[in-house]
Amino acid sequence: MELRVIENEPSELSIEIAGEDHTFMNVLKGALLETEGVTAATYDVNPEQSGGQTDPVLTIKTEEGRDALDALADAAGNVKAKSTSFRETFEAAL
Amino acid sequence: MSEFDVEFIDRSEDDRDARFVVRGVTPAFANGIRRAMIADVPTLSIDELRVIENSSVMFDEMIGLRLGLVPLTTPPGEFEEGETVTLALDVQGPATAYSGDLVSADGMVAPADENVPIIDLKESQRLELEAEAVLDHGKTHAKHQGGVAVGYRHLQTVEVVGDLGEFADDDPQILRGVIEEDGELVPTEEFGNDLRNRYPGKEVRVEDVPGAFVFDVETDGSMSAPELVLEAVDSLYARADELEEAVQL
Amino acid sequence: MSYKCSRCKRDVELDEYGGVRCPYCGHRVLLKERSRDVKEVQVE
Repeated sequence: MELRVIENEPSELSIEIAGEDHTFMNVLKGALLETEGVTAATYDVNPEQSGGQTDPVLTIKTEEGRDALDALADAAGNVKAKSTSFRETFEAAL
Repeated sequence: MSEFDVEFIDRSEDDRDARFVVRGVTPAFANGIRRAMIADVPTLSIDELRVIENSSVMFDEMIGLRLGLVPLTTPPGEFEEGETVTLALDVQGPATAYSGDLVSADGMVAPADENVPIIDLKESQRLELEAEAVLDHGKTHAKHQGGVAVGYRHLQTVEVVGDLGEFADDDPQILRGVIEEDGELVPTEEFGNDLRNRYPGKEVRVEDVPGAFVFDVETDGSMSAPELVLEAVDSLYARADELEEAVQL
Repeated sequence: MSYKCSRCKRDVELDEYGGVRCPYCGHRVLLKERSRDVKEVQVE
């Protein structure tokens, strides 16, 4: 997973995540919107006039005093926790 | 004390089919699992041939395409992406070459079905070859898809709101999937998918249960349906883990 | 180059002088045989 930061301000982050598609990006976006201090989160898999770019670009806006990168790390952690929890519940139901 | 709840409705004997309800899951996460099952869980598939003899009526490439589409058992976690397994096929006509004639060099890998016809060989025709199966994703080629019919629907509840008027239209009320009635899960096939059969003369209201999804999973036999689900969840975990690490640096 | 005569089914070797003709029966239709090499095929 290759990351390219496009814009990095205290409360706004634009980052390109190479090799991913809707499968992971939508899960991540969903987790970001549940994350504390995140005011907006979205992704675009084919930014306009990108010259054929198809790697998704994730954009996060956060409340003042909340670092967008930290929020992203928290959201990724949340996806991990959810996955683990789902795995355990699913295995228990087998 | 998990936020989720999983309940199985159906599981086929060979474990290739499963139907289960998941509660407490967001649509994004449910869709992530579904998409991962289809395109991201890798399976072994024949990708390269060494044709020693092919006196059949079809070109090597056509035989190759057919062999590629034969599902091979792929025990999860045993192979790395790009790893290969060698298989061999040697059939002398008159006979039909079947997927079951493929002999694998690895005891864990075998054709998931033994009765897939490859080609009919007439007298004096022969097909002899070696094949390399490679582990790859459904994203690369559909032959690597483990899940062949994977989807979900909202779990629905049915509420009786009153009686139908004497001259009300007798329209069908078709539902497909699973409905919940007082905590009981009822597959709609039980009443012919038509609510009129279950509530004759009643006016009913159908609503989605928030955060509850009925998953239908069918695999091609490369692994069991539960294994496919768990592999899909693990693939989401792996990507989240990679992202978390990359961001924390 | 090895060919097979389509009439008498015998193996035929062609050279640049004889022209396309079976030396055994004179038939002019020759079939090219598949090479005995192992052929590698990439499955698309």
